[in-house]
This record gives sequence, structure tokens and C-alpha cells, in this order.
Amino acid sequence: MNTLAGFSLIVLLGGVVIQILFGKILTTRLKGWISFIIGGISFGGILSLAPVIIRGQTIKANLFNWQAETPFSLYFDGLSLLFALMATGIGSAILFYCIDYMQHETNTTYFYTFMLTFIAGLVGLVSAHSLLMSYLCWEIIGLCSYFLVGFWYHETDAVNGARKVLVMTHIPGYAFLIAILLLYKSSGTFLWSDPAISAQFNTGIFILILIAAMAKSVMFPLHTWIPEAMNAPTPVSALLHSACYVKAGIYLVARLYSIVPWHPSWNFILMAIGCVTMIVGALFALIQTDLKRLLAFSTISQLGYIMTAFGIGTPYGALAGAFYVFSHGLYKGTLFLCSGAVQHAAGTRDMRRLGGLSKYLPGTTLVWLVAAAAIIGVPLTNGFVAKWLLYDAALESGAWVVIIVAWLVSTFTAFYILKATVSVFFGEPSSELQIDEINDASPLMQMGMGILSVACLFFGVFPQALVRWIAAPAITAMQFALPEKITFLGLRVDSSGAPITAGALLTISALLVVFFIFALRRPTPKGVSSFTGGDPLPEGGTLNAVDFSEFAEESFSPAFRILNPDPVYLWIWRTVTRIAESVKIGFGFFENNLVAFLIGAILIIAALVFVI
Amino acid sequence: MDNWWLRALFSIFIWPGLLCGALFGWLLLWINRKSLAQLQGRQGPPFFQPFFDFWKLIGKKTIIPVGVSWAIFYSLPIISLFSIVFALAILPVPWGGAISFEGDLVLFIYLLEMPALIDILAGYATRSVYAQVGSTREALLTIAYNLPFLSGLIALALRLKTFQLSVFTSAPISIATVITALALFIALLAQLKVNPFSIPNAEQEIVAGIHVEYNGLPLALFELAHALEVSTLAGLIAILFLGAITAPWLKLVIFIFISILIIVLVSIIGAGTARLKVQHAFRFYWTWGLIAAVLVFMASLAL
Repeated sequence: MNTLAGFSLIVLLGGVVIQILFGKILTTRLKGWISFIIGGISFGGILSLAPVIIRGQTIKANLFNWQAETPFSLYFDGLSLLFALMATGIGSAILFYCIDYMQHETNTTYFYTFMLTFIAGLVGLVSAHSLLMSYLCWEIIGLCSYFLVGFWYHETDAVNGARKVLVMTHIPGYAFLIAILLLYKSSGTFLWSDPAISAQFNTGIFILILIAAMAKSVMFPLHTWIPEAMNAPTPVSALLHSACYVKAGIYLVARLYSIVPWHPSWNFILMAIGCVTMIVGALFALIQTDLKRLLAFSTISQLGYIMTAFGIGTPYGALAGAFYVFSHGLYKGTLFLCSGAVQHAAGTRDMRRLGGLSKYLPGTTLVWLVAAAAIIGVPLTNGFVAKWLLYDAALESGAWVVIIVAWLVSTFTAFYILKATVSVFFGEPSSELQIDEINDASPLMQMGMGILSVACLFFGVFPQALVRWIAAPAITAMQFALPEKITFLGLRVDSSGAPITAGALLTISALLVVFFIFALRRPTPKGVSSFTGGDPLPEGGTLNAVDFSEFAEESFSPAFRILNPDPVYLWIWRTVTRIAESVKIGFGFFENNLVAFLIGAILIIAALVFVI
Repeated sequence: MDNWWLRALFSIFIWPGLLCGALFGWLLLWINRKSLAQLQGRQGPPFFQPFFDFWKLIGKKTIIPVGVSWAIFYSLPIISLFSIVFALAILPVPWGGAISFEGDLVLFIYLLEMPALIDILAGYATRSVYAQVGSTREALLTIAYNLPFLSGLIALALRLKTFQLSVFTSAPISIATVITALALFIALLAQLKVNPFSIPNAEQEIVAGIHVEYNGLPLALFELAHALEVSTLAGLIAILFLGAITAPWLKLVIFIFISILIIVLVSIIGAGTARLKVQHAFRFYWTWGLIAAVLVFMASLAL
């Protein structure tokens, strides 16, 4: 079994080699199929480890020897399983979607190489036993995101976005490196499971690691790079938001529970950051007019929920976090893929110029509605269970601020998701759209998104499947005991579990029956257009995304100014540039003036000699 | 087990679910309309009017506007109705409470939110400008009235350390209960879309708002869901005051009495105020709602 631990990683890297070697010969579609198959095999490889890990064992393996410290050894436990399944599972669905989505693009060898490396990076990060390997993978996924966000490198926006992603996540990444080196200096080992690491762990190290995790997982105030990453191809955004990139920080924070028992102040810090982030993300999501930017801010908000859940620090909190992180991957991946389908069909993702697409993209609309229901938290979806677990965990630990903030933000979530839904899929189509040319996503793309949305529903009705097989091993790995049994719909009941199940099944079957009855007596539209009362309609005859939220924007307008840290970062950026410029000018003077250079050099040497 | 099944089905379909919920909702709606008429010096509708309205709508032929998918057109009112029926079935009324478990309050609140979400979708799905204006107003109100509504319920949940509704009804009455009821009442005005918050369905401005394109059976289902919503929301406030009483019949009497009292109050406020602009309503809820939230948390946690 130990040999299987590195299997997925090696398969993914093998896929990378295939892409590079045969990139010139293979067609674009074939490259897509190969990547998907590679992703599928690695997903299978991770799944094959599941039975052992669910039994509570851990799997250790060594990729290859490197001096005595074995920096390339792997350690697979429940937490690794959760994140690796997410990366390879959701990643495979996204790769499947890519086959059709990317078929008209050039330079796809580049694309698929980095996509596979990206997934391999996360699998490597979560299965690394040595902190050095963690840091290596941490930066590999950072670099992959840089290359993938800048895939359309001839567009200025894409290049600027990629640079912002790299700068804003790479610099805080050094905090992680410093923490690793400090730990090594005091404990003498890089292996995180070593008790010496646990003994030397302190609040300073925690803060350093948290800073790195905050930047990767878009916590306020290090979140402003993610909206700029929207200029990437949609599958990249989907992978970045749902499975691979932003979840890396979450993993790192969750892993700290395996390493060391938490000080109560750490829980407080994490909950505070999480709560602020969920508010900021949701507030900024309200005012967006670009569909992908709206989803980007919703990711910020949702990751705030996940961090808060892990911050609670009780078994229930950990369970809520583990459930939430997987659920978020599913529905956010779906929403991004849908937005890609919309962009593909309509040629724009500006919500002011979209509308009424439900008629032209029925399949995409259905998938979107399921995922939208999940993110809002409608019962029967995994999003409801995730929120419910979070509220319950917060109530149990008495964190009342968390409950009220999380719940209020969930009404904001409903607001901005509805804004996106109605202004893209419902209402009158915008006059700017070329209606005749709009076709629904191809069957392959629909399958890619459909699988994820079906999983949202499946884990909403049968959350115990996710809890037992994925979340429970993860929280065991985080040194927590699984609290109680969770039944259908996520409701914690001791004896009357079956009736709740029955209630859920009753609802679904009743809805199906009613739907069937209506389907039988399906009426035909009578050719009556919408009632306008004879009034002249506003331009375009419909309301757009701006009309939907303008009052909310007005009311919260002071908040948008205060809560945007970008001006500060820009100031730092400009100051650094200015200093570099003046240094350049100063040295330029010496370069051009040999006499001045010599005098200067003599003076410096003389000063040095004098001092020494 | 079988016994439980029957009781759960009874809760969903008979008491307090679909049948009794609808009848009670119609009664409350009738009281609302009648008292409003009396306050305005009018005669008001006969007792059976809400039922007549419903029955008439069912008999009408359904017309779906051009360009609207029939599946969406029909499924929205059905989902709305189902959600509210299940929410009502969870409400621990006297002789009810068959479906009760730790955490049912969370399910209850989310189910209660559904009709508003569905309304917003329905407004846009039917492609009428009036309906869309109604939808945007409704959407804005949801992020306003939920502040006092959620604060009230969460504060009480913290006080009782549970998310189980049946504990709410058996808890003794305190200042916290009264303030919670007040916070819920403030939110209720917007949830039921009555004056001064009849903004999403402002009939003089945007015809009937969200439901302007709905007719026949689907509209009847929306109206039925509204009647059930009235029962549920008034009932939710009423159950908070049942803690001190033990006799079930007395509980029932008090439950009905408080529900009616709430509706009469709603009528008085409705008759005495004019419709606010949506931004004023928004500001109202974020100032007074915030004050209510602070008060209710102080009362729950400190007293």
C-alpha cells in the first residue's frame, strides 16, 4: 500500500512529461483527453488509499532518498485525503470541461502542462511529510497560477493580474519559509509529525504561517489579488477558486491542528479574520457587474466561513470546516464553469449586457440554479448542511458573534447570487446580445459541470456519506474525535434519523410527482407578451445588474472606501518603484562620469579603511 | 415508528401544516383586510373572501407569457409552497411538534427564506418590468429585515443554548422574550409586505409587483403560500409566549389570540402609515434593526 502513496503524484507528473514531449504531435482535443484521463487515474489512485485511511491508519512513503533528512517523504492521512480528493476529483471534472472549452485555443501544451502541475502541486503539498517539501509545493502552485492567469499573455489585463497574483502571494510566502527555518533551528527536523516540532511551536510561528495562509486563502486584507486573477481562462479560475489554490492556505491552517494543540488566542485570531473576511467579500460582491469578479468576491466571503469554522477549534467546528471546504469546492467550481459557458456563448461576462439566457442555455441554467441554491444554502443541497454545521458548532462553543455575522452574511450571499442569476439568466435579453448565435454549452462541457452539481445535491441529501468517508478521517487527522452521527440532510438526530430521511425523500418525490403532473398537461404559451400597461419601457425594456443593487451600493458606499486595502498596496508599490528609480538615476550618474565614479569609490574605500 | 410516521405526515398535511395552516392564514388575512377596512371607514370583505379568491384563481385558465419557460413558471410557486408547508410543520404549536430535533430552527429559518428568494426569481423569470422592479425591492428588503429577525432568534437561541424550536416554546417568558418578539414583529411588517413596507408589491406604482404576470393556478399557489407564511410568521411570535402555560387547550387559545393580536397590530400600522421609499425602508431596518439587535443580545446574554 505504501507504494501507492506517491502513485497519483507520479501519474500527474508523468502527464506533464507526456504533454511536453508530445505537445507538438498531439491535437488540442487529444491533449485535453489525455489530461482528463491522467486526472482521472490520479483521482482513482487517491480513492484507492481511502479505505486504509478511513480505518484510521496513515500511509507513509519515500519518493526518493536525499541525504538523511528525507525531504521527499510522503505522509497521507485523513486531512491529506480530503484535499487530495478535492484537487484530483474536482480537477478532473474541470479538465473534462476543458476538452471542448479549450479546443479553439492555441498554446494548449502550455495550458495543460501547468494545469496538471497545478493539481500535482496541491497533492504534493497535502501529502508532504517534510515542511521543506510543503514549501516547495506551496511555491509551485503559486508559480503555476502565475503562468495560468497570464495564459493570454498578449492582454495587458491578464499580465497585470498574473503579476499581482504572484507578488501578493509570493511575498507573504516567505513568512512560511521563515517559520520553517525557525522551527528547524530550534527542533532540528523538518518532519512536521516529529514531537520536537510540536514542542518548539509558538505564537510567533503560528502568526508567520497564518500570514502565508491568509495571502493564499484570500483573507482580508490580503485578498485583493483574486479579482485580478479573473482574466484567466475560466477553467483556470474554476480550479484556482474551487480546488487547488485558495484551499492551500486552508489546508495549512487545518494542518496546524495535527501539529500542535492550539492556544485559545489563535482560535480567536482566526475567527476574527474569518468573520471580517466574510463581510468584506460579501459587501464587495454586491456591487460587481462582472460575473467572474462577483464570483471571485464570493470566494473571499466563503473562505471567510471556512476559516471561521476551523477557527472555532471544537470537533464540531473542524467537522463544519472539513464539510464546508469540500462543499465549497463543488459548488464554486460549478458556478465558475457555468460562467465560462455563459462567456463562451454570449461573448461577454458583463452582467449589464446579459439577460434572459435561460431560454438559450437551458442546460447551463439548470446547473447554475443547483449550484446557486447550494451556495445560498437552500435545504437539500450541501451548502445548507455546511452552514448548518457551522452555526451549530458556533452555538455549541458560545461564539455568538460568529453565528450572527455568518447568518447575516448568508442573506447577503443570497442577494448577490440572485443578482447574478436574474441578470444573467432571467429578465429580457439585452439588445446588445447576438441572440441568433447563442448556443448552449456542448454536451461534454455540460457533463463536466453537471457532475459537480449532482454531487452538490447528493451530498445535500446524503451528507453522512461525505461526513463518514471524507470529513471524519480529516478531523481525526486534526486530533479531534468525531462528535456524533450525522444523518440525512445533515440534521444531527440520535434516534429519529430515519424519519428525517423520509421527510427529505418525501419532499423530493412530491416535487417529482407534481412536476410530472404538470409535464403531462404541459400548456403551450398563448402568445401573450408581458404586461406593460402601455407605458413606454426604459431603454432595453429590462432592469440590469446595476439597477438590482444600486440602493445597497449607495447605503454601503462608505464601507467600500474604508475596506479596500488596495490604495495602501499601490502606495507601497509606487514608493518602491520610486526608490528604485532614484537609485538608478544616482548610479547612472556615476556610470556616465568616470571621474565622479573614481572619486566616489576612493572616498568610500577611504572611509572603510578609516573605520576598520 | 409507524406512529411517528403518521404524526409527521399529520404535521405536514393537517395540523399545523397545509390544511390548518391555510385555514388559519385565511382567517388572519380576513381579519387583516376587515380591520383595515373598518379603520378606513369601509365595509370590508365577507368572511370567506380569501377562500373565494383562492378558489376562483384555481378555476382560471393559466396563461404563460411569451418567452417564459413553463417549467420555471410552474415550479417556482410549487417550491415556494413546499418550503413554507415544511416550515410550518416544524413550528411547535400546541398538539403539534411531531417533527422536532436539535437544529430545527436553522432548517425553519432557511425554509422561511425560500418564498422571498423564489419571489425574486419569479419576478425576473416572468420578464415584466413591473415584476423586476418588485424583485429588486424585495431583494433589497431581504438584506434589511433579516437583521432584526435573525438577531432576535439567534439571541434567544444563545440564551437557551439550543437551536431547537420546541425549547423556545417551553422557555419561561422574560424581558428577552418580549424584546425578541418586538424584533420579530419589526421584521414581520416587511416579510408580509404590508404598509409601510408594502414596497415590493406596491399596487399603485408597479401594478402588483412580482406576481403581475402570474395568473390561474400558479398564482393561486403563490397566494396559498402567502397565507401559510402569515400563519407561520404570526405563529412564530405567538409560540414564544406559551412557556408559562401547561394546559394544551389554553395554549391553543393563547396561540390564536396572540396571532390575531399581531395581525390586528399589523392592520393598525398598515392603516396609519404610508408606503416608504425602498431606501428609507432599508435605512429604517439598518438603524432600528441594529438597535433592536443590540438590545436583544444585551437582554439575552446579560439579563
